[in-house]
Amino acid sequence: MRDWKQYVREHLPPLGLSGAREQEITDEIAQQLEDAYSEAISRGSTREQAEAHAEAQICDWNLLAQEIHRAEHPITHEIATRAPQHLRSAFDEENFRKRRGGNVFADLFQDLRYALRMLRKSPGFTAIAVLTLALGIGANTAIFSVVNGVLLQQLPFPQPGRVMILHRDQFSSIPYLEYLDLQTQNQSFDPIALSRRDSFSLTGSGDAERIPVRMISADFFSILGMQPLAGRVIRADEDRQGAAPVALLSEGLWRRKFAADTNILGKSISLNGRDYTIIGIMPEISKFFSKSDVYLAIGQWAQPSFYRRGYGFGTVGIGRLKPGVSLLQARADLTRIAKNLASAYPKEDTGLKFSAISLHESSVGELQQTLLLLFGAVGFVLLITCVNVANLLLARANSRKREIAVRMAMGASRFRMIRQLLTETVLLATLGGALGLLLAMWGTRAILAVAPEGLVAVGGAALDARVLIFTLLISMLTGIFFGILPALKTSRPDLQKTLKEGGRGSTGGHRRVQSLLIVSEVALAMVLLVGAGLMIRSLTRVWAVDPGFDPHNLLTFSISLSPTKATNGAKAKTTYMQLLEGLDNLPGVESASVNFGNLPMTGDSDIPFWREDQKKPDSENQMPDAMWYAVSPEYLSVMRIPLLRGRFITSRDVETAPAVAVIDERMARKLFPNEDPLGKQLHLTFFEEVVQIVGIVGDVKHNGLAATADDETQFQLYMPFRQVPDALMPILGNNVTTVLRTSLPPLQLVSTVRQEVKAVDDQQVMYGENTMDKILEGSLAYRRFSMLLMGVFAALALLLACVGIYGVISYLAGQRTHEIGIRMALGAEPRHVLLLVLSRGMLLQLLGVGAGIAIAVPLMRLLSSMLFGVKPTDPFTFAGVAALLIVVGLLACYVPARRASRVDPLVALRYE
Amino acid sequence: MQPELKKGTAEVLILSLLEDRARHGYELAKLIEKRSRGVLEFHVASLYPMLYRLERRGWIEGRWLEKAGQRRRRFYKLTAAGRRALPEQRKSWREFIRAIERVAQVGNA
Repeated sequence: MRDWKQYVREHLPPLGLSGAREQEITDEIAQQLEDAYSEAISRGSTREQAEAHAEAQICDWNLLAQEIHRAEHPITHEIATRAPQHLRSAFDEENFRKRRGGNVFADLFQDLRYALRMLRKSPGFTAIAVLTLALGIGANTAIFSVVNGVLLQQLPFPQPGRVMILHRDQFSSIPYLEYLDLQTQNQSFDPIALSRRDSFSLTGSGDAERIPVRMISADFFSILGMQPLAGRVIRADEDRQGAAPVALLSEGLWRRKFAADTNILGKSISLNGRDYTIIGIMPEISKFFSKSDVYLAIGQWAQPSFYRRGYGFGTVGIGRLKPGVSLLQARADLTRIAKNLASAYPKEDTGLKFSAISLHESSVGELQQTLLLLFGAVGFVLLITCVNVANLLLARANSRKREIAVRMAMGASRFRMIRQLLTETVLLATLGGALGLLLAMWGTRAILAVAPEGLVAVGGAALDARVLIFTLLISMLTGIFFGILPALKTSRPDLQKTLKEGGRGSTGGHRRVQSLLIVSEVALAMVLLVGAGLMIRSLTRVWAVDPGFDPHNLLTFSISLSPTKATNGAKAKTTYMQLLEGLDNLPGVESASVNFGNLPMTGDSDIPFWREDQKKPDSENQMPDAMWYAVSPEYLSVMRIPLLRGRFITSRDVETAPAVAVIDERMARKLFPNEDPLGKQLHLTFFEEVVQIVGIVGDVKHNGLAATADDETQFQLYMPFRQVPDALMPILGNNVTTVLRTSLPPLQLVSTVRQEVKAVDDQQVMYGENTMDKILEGSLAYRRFSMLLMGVFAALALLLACVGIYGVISYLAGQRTHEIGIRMALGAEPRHVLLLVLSRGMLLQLLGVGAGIAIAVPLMRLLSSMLFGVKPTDPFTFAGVAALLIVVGLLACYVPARRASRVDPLVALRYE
Repeated sequence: MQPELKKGTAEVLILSLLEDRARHGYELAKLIEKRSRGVLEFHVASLYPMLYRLERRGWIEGRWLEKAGQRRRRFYKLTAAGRRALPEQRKSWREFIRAIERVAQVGNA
């Protein structure tokens, strides 16, 4: 015979009773089934029939369990049956939970199920909360994915944190000879390498083109711990004059130009007319160094000045810290070596300093601050989001009081209730997070679209597992954060009172908390708005700065001469003159000039000089420096730089004429305070020339519109390019820019210009076309980027704060309907009521604005390095933002206030 | 019939059946079915919860008994409170029947 007790145990849901009682009931019911079975057998049924008969005794086990439970818990049932229908679910839930016993996971599952049902029940609330959260979490995820891509990326080689970038001073080049000294004398790096960027003409492999090249010393890749994809790296014995020319190709060039040919090793490529044997293929390093297509041995460079002490050529040191050596120790070591060198070579190395920063820091540089700022800002947005949702919850909490009271009357503990409420909020936040993730994917794309190129190059955004975990984590934390306060408040109802009052519990406590939340929300929005306001003001200030030239309608590009001409100074000059003549005759071209030095906002190389009529300083470090421009006579008219005194360079300033120079107004003022600079002579190092000053022109904002006071000490010196010593032409030839003023949109000219360049010599390559407007824009890219995002976040904050204020004021006004009704019945006029509600809202606003100012004043100081022409405490911005917040807040209060003032006293009183 | 009404009916029936001696659940179900000639039928899902409710109310009392040659069963007997409550229940039941008769004019058709 079947074991009926077993059968009942299997079928009867847990009753949540004491073990003994449950056992008793099981036994009794099993007995009933057994009786039914025995009776059927005695009537002559078969075993199967009898069993079926017994089983048919109980067709609904759940109903049975529920009925038994009701019988065993008469009091809770009393409450539950008297409770309104919509509270029954709460009861059933509690009931079900009891039957299930105390399993944590089962509880969690139940909490979730229940939470889902509660959210489904109020779709309006759920939609608003989820959307708000999605905005907050989405914005955070988007910024985090950029932070993740840029700041948290792991460089793709072992112990990247030990790799340091070395400079002379802060950002200057380390001269080759000093580098060799560093290599032998240092005790902290193992090893040190040197590298510099250049660009070479690649010929003989399809179309001639200009490619980025990096000259490196032998240890460069071993420091990075990078292995070649094929072949080998440069050996120490190849890294010196006279060694056989060898080259490493980047993977990119290898695929693009050589179709990933595996037999390429041992073949040669022609760079600037010289053949180099390909010895290896290297993976890309563009994530942390600027892109290079070819690597050459730096020790093979045939540039005599390169081997002169004190002469840097854009060289950067890189070193791997020895195990156990800290960065501080390494810096001390570098200082020691610099001192040694200064005493050994006082002429060249007096005042020499070396600096070391980590590769990561150097590649991320400016971005770090920008991103951390944005991350902070977006955190504020999330806080506002939390406050908003907490407010929504509090408003809703009131209507749920009775449900909670019923459940607590049935024995649910307060902890249990808080857990239930938190499950709901975390669920809300998770839903918000999921939607936010979608927003973030879209947002990240939008961010990258407006991001500076530098950001995209160092990593852009990475939406990977880390971002997902981040989103999940902040969603959870957000859920707990905005849920905890309402949960604590809601779960402490006065049971009796609540049950008696039918859910209309007192709200005094809520009102205080909600007011507090509104104040903090306004304060947070205030901080963000002030930040955005300051940055917007900065950018407009920067844009208003006169660059010193007219950047509109300027086309700039570079030309790579054919190898034979590039190495011959005289030929190179002739070619450029030919080219300028040709360009001048093109339709749409007003005038054109070459610039062998630095184009504003791009290059950055100074020459030390001294006044010929004064004593020569002991070392170059003690000489003043000038940014130099070796240009053709048209340069001034092309750039529209004003001539202030004397004359500019003319076509008579040729190789054989006396060497002349034109200086900028600042240099004239600072260097010749009470003298006439015209006719004075300067001795230029590097060119080893004495030049006579023949004219003074206006300053150019060479280092960008937002140049700081430091940069303004920089002098500017113009010289005729034809007077550049022929011997120097091959090196300078790598840094020639042509500037062209046109009456057409500049980029339209590119193809005609390209034809003209080819017409002069078909081995010539034109590259790097750009407009000066774009270059100017590029120099402000980071500023614009931060401003844009700050603006978006501030707008979001304003919107959220508005919604929050509106919601709370509406709610509070609604709560006071009865009171307002009485007031109106006693003779208050609608405008009194309007004022009553409005003044309450305004008070909160003002408190929020006050608190916002108190927070913003110290916080904005952190921003000061990103500001331009505006103080972090700019009263105009603060006042403007405060006014904006108050006006917007007023509007948000006005709607509910007006509604309240139209309350019909009769209706309001009947309400009770 | 409405649930409340049915519950009231069942309670009176059970109390009445227990008036002269203690009985176990199955027996009660069988007796109700037999004496009503099959008109009233008690499902387990309503019988046992009802017994438990009456027990909780203190009108009946269940006890495990093992009679010779039989299994252990739970026998319910009327408590003193149940015995006191029964006349009242019967009375209100009778009033109820009469009310129905008056309304439906069953008696003087």
